[in-house]
Amino acid sequence: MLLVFVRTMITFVIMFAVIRLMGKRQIGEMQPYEFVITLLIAELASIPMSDLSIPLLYGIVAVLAIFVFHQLFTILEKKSVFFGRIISSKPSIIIDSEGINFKEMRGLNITVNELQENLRNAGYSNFDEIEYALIETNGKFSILEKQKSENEKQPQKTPLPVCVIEEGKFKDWELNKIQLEKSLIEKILKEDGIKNLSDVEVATIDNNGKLYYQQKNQSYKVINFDFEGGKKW
Amino acid sequence: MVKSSVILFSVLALIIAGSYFENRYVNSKIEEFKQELAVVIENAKNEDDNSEKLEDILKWWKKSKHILHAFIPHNDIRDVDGLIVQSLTLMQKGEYTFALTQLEKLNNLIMGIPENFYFNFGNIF
Repeated sequence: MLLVFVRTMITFVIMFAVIRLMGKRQIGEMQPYEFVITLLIAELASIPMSDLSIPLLYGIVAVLAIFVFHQLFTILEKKSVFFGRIISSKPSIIIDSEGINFKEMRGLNITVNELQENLRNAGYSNFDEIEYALIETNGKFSILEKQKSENEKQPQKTPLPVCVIEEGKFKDWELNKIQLEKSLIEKILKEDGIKNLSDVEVATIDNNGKLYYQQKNQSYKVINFDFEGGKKW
Repeated sequence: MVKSSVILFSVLALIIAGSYFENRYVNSKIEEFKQELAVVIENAKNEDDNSEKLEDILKWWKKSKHILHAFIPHNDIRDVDGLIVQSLTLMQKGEYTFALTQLEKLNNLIMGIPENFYFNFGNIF
């Protein structure tokens, strides 16, 4: 019994560490340790149930061991801030007043495309509409909208931004899709003082003529320009 | 919080007590088995017919294995069943040398059962 308990504990700890290292996006609506429990408990219960050569007691002890870890983690999480950080991590701010936090994004293994996807799911299309975007400890996105002044103009049409530069490189596939020349973006960025394109971490462009870009370790910028002959995608 | 802690420690205590009982029970049964088997092995070495004693062991084993099923992998129990019956058949036929081989196998198998419960690196991993 004690052996089964210890073996379950080792498996649990290793799986928990792996899930934590894989980042928050691997889990959905659960804390990392709850996710590990969900993965383990079904297997632990079903193997001795279906394999008649294994005493049922082994499965029962393993399930009880999982229960013990769950209780222990819950108590530690509530009692100690330090353990709480280790067990459930802390929410990560990936967009703030400065723009996208790429260091945090890389730590969480999240790409700009995935970030855009989550913003769209939340009903936002542009990065500059967001005051704060956080990834909660359970892997869910929380978005806090930027306060709009009354004078602020409403966009002519619903913008659909496309990511055209990521980590200093043009995304040719996206550019072809919206039939936009690289030279136009290069020209706009050059006029705004960008000498080296590789310094641009991210740039999105929308069909209203808004270019959002962010240089390494700098705040984001928004440039409004006119498309020749209008643009739709 | 208090309720959670009480439940947590109760389950832990249950597992520890259960482990202790399991170890004690399995060890005592296997020790008893080993002692009885040692007599049969000694007699088989002297080519004495010991089938009655082996039949008694078989009866005892059939009674004991019901509870042992809860702790020991069922394949091991099946192997013990098979080796007792084989040894008994060979002994009844007077083939003491072959019977002795099976008895030695049986002895080796039952000696290995408590070892599976030892708290060591090999068993954990």
